[in-house]
Amino acid sequence: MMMNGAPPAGQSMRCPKCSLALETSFFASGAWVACPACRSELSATFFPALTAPPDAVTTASGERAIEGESVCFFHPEKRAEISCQRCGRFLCALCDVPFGGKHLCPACLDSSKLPELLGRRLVWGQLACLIGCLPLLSVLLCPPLGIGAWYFGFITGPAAIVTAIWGWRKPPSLVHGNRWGLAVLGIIGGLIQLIGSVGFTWLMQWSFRQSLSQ
Amino acid sequence: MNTPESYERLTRSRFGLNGTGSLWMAKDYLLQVSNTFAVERYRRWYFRDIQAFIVRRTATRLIWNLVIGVFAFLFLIIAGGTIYGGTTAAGVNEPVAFMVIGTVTGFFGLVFLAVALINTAMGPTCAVFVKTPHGLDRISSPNRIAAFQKISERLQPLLINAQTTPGGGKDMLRDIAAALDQPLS
Repeated sequence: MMMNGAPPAGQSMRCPKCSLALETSFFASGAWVACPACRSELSATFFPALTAPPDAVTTASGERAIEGESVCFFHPEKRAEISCQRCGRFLCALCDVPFGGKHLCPACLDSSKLPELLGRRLVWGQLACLIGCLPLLSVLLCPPLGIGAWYFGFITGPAAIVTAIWGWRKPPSLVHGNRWGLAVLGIIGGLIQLIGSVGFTWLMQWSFRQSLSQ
Repeated sequence: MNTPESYERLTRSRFGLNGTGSLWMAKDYLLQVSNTFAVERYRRWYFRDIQAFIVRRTATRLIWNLVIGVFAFLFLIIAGGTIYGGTTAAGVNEPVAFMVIGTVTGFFGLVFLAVALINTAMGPTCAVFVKTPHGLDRISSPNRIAAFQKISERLQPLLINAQTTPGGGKDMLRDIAAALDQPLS
């Protein structure tokens, strides 16, 4: 599995298992090769970025603009070198922030509204579904554990409903989008837990009274 | 802001010890989504940064086949023994009971056998790594060589295009300046 014929020479990479440094020429075209140290069977696909020189990092603070030239949005005295690919503002060399192949301005990078900057996200609908349905699942799969679930239903039931309502307008999963079904399932699960807990408590009290009367 | 439609799913969710993981493709990067108890974690590899895909064959398929095969063997042996016992049982109800137990255990044995066959048919397993200037990162899925090859064929033209096309930032500014008829450096 190679790109552009033969693998690039003079580069090395490490075996993913034993970290032995292997020359890229070691990976014959399209074939599986065994690592000399750990005997792992490896295959590699190379891309032009392997041999491309690294992006030049500029330390320039931007050149002063002369009359009639486009100027930086943030530094009106500096010449514009590039425009932000998100908001379109003209930027000098100092304000140009290369990010993932794009050129952004510090304001766009700071706003953290870019999906590319998101590292993690709590999916509220899924959380509501977990809180609402896991105790019910435990009732079905393991009845002794399920008795505990009916005790805790006074807590987990309302928690599932509140979580679903609270997270209704929160940002959804980045890739799956809004999953209203999960939130609705969480609310239904929470209601069943709540009703089940009330019913279970009433049943316990009733049986207790019955045993006292006998 | 990107809409969910701007991501294309490359692999299905794969269950692991720390939740699920799946691979998605955006316009200019690969996105790995790991989900642990409703918390999604995102990992990105930009097309222009990916230097190589490295695939290592793993023994996962063999190990699973051994585990499932042991269960299938045990259930089928028990089923065979029970059914044979049923044919030689002397009582009135005993043969029926033996046959029922034998059929149930035989069913489970066949299910395990089918799972082992499907696992074998899906092809050899692998671990996929992405090499970038920052190092070597493992991708949680795909974990089958056939699936990886499909994804690789899909990604190769995009990666080459992203890495061979010069960045258009300054060209774009020149275009804007030309359109506005303003001098630019």
